[in-house]
Amino acid sequence: MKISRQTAAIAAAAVGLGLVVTGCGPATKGGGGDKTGPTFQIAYNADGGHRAWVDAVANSISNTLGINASGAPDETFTAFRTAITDRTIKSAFRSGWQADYPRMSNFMLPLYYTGAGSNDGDYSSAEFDSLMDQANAAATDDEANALIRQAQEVLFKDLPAIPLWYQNTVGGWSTKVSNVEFNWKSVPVFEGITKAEGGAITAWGGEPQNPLIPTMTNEVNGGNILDILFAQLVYFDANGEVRNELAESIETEDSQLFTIKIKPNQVFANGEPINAAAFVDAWNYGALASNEHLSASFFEPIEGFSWEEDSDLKGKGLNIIDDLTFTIKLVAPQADFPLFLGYSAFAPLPASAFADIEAFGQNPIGNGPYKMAGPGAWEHDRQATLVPNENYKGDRQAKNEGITFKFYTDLNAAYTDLQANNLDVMHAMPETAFSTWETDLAGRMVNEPSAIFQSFTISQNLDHFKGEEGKLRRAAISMAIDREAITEKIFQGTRSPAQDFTSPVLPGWSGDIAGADVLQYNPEKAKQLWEEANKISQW
Amino acid sequence: MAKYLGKRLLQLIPVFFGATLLIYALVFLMPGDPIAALGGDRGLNEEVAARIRAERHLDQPFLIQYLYYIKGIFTLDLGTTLNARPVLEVVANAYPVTVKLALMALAIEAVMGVATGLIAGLRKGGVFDSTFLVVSLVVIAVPTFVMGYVLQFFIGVKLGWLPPTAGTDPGFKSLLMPACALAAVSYAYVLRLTRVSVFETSTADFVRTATAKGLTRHRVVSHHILRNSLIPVVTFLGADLGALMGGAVVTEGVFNIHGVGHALLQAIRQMEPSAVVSLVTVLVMVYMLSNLLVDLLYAALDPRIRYDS
Repeated sequence: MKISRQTAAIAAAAVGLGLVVTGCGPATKGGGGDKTGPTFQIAYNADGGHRAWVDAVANSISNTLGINASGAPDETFTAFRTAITDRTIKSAFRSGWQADYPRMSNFMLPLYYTGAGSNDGDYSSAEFDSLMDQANAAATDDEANALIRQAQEVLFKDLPAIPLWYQNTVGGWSTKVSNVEFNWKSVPVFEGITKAEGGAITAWGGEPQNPLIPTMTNEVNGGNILDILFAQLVYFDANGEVRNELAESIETEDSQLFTIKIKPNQVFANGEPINAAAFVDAWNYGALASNEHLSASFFEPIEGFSWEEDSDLKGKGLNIIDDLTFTIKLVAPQADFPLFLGYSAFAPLPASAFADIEAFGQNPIGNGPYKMAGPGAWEHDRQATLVPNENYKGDRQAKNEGITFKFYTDLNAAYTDLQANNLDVMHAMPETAFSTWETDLAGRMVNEPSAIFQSFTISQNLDHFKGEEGKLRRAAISMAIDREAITEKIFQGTRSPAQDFTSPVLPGWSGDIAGADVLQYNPEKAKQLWEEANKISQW
Repeated sequence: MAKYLGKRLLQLIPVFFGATLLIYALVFLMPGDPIAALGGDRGLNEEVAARIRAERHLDQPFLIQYLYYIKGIFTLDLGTTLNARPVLEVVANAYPVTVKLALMALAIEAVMGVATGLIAGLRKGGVFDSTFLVVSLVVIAVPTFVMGYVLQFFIGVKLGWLPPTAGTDPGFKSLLMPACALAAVSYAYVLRLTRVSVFETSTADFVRTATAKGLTRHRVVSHHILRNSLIPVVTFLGADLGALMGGAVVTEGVFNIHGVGHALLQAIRQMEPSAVVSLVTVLVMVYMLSNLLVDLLYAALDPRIRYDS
C-alpha cells in the first residue's frame, strides 16, 4: 500500500527518520554557479519527515550532474497526494510502498502495470505487462520468480521510478530472552520468543486506538495484539511463506469463486466452535456500512458490498455450504485474494461477540496462539496482558508463558527499560540510540531491510523524460545518487541502499538482477549519460 | 472568612468557562482531520467518515460543538474516546498517579528547600551557603527532562538502585526518582527564597528583641525567624503545585508514568477535543484551588492578614 502520512509518521517514530541529522546539507537552490537549465525538482509532503533525505538526494544529483536540483515541499500529505492523483504535479515526486502481503508482485503490479491503481507515473510497457501476466499464471513459485526477475530487468532499463532504499527493521531485546525473530512486517514473532527464567515476555506497545475488534483495527498498536489474539484462514510464516492456518483448503477455478473448507474441531478461546458461520457472520458484520468498521474496505471486492446501504453479503458474496464449508464470490477475478485472507480483518468471531460488540471490543475472545489474560486484561493507557490459548491447535504455538504489551509514549523510556532488562523486546528504536545501540545491545538487536521500499517517481509525462532521452536521463539521475552516503549520514544506517524494485525480505528475492548496476553511485557514467541525452535535446 | 471564600469560589466559574472555551478552540484549530486519520493507509470511505463525524458532532460549527461539550459536563457524560472509553474514565484513571507524583515532588522541594535554605540563610556567606548556591544554580540551569534522563541512566540503568521507569501502578519507590527530577528546579527556587527571606528576617528588630528577651536560639529560629520567612515560600509552593502537575507531562514521558501527561499526549495525537479539554480543565482547576489554599494559609502564618473586614 502507499505509505500515507500516518504510516510515514509511524515509520518516523519507529526508525527515527526525524529531521535532526542532516549530514548532507541543504540542496543547492537554483541560480548557483555555472549550473544552467531548468531545476530538477523532487516533490514531497512536508509533514512526513522527508525533507532531510529529499534535500540530500537533490544535492547529490545537483553536484554530480552540474544541474540545478532541489526538493519541492507540499505542505500536507493531502495536498501532495491530490496533486499526484490529479496528475497536476509537474516534477518528480517521492513514492513509498509498503507490502500488503509478502510477494514481489505486490510491489510491481500496483506500481508499474499499465493502468494500475498506484501507477502514478503512468508507466506503460507491453513487455513488462506480459511478463507479469505470465508470472501470475505460472505453475510454480520458481517459474513465477524467474519471470518477475525478467520483468525487473525491463524496469531497470526504463526506470519508471528511481529506487532509493529499503527501510530497515530495527529492534532489540533484553538479556532475559532468546529466539527473537522478526517477521516480514518488522514485528517480532512473539510466540517463538523464549524466556529462561519463565514468566511473561514484556513487549513494547502503545494504547490501541480502537476497540480490539479485527475489522475495527487498522493501526499498529492494536494490530500487534490482534495478530496473536486471532488466527485467520491463512498466515504468513517468519519467511513470508503463506500457510494454511484454519483453512483445510482454499480452492478456485476462476479466481472469482473461492470454496473454503475449514479444519474440523477448532474452537475459540471460550470453547465456541469455529465454523463457516463464525467467518461469514464476522465478515458480514464488519462490512455493514452502518457498523462503521474501519477495515470495511477489505470486503469491497466481495459481491454484494456497498457503502451506500447496509448490504448483506450473506447469500450474495458469502454462502454457507455446510458447517465447515463456505464460498466467497468476488465482483471480479482477483488472483491474489487468498493472500489477503491472512489479514486480521478476515478473522472469525464467536457468536457471542455480536450480543454486545462493545463489551467484546474491550475484552475480545479470539482463536489465536494467545488470549486475553482475563476480564480487563487490556488496562487502558497502561498495558495489555496476554496468555497462551490452550484451545489453539495451529503452528504458531506459544513457546513462552505469555506476552505483556507495555504501553509507552516515549521511545526513550522504552529503550531505557530495555537496557535495564525491564522490557524484553521492542521493534522500534529512539533516534538518540542510533549512535550507541550497537554496543549497548551487542548481539541483541536487528537492523535489516524490511518490506518498505522508498523511491521517487519520474512521470512518463514529464518533458525531457520521454523516449530514448528519458531513459538516458533517468539512468544518469539514478547513478548520480550516492545511496550509501545518504543512508549512512541521514538515516544512520537504518536504511539499506536499494538493489531492486521490491524488498529483500520477500520469498524468491534476488539481489543481482541484470541492469541493477544503475543503482550504483557512478558520477562519471552519470555525467556521460546526461551529456548523451543533451545531444538529443538540450536540458 | 466565609464570604471571602464564597467570592473566591464564585470566581472559578468564569475561569472554568474561559479555560474550556479557549482550550476547545485550540484543539478545534489543530491542523489535520482526526476522522480521516482514522482511516490509516487504506483511507476511510466518505460515507462512513460522514457518519462518524455526525455522531461526534464534528460536522457542526465550533460553538455548537463547544455547547455539546458543556452539556456533557452537566450531564456527566463527556462522550467516549475513539477507542470507546468514557472520557470521564480516562480523566479519573490519569489523575491519581499524577497527583501522587506532584505531591511527592512538592514534599521533596518543600522539606529539602526550606531545610537547606534555613541553614544557608542563618550562615550566610559560609561554606554551606556557597556550596548550595552553586548547586541551586546548576539545578536551575538544567532542564527537567535532562535531569530526568541523567538520573534515569545513572541511578536506574547503571547502578540499578531504583527502577528506571515507573510502569503500571507505580509505588513510592518507582516514583521517587521522577519526583526528584520534577522537584529539582523548584527546589532550587525554594532554597534561594528561604535563604534570602531567613537572612532578612534574622536581622529584623523583633528577632533582636526575642534574642534580648533571653529566648533560646532554637525558639528564636523556629518561632520567630522561620515562621515569618515562610510567607513568600508558601506563595511559591502553592503556585508550584499547579506548575508541577503541568510539568509532570514531560517527566511522565521520560519515566513512562501513565498519568495526565501520558493521557494528554495520547488525546492530542488523536485530536480528541473532549479528552484534551477535560484533562486540561482539571489542571486549571487544581491551579486555581491551590492558589486559593495559599491565600488562606497566609492568614494562618501572619495574624495581621484577615479576610473579613
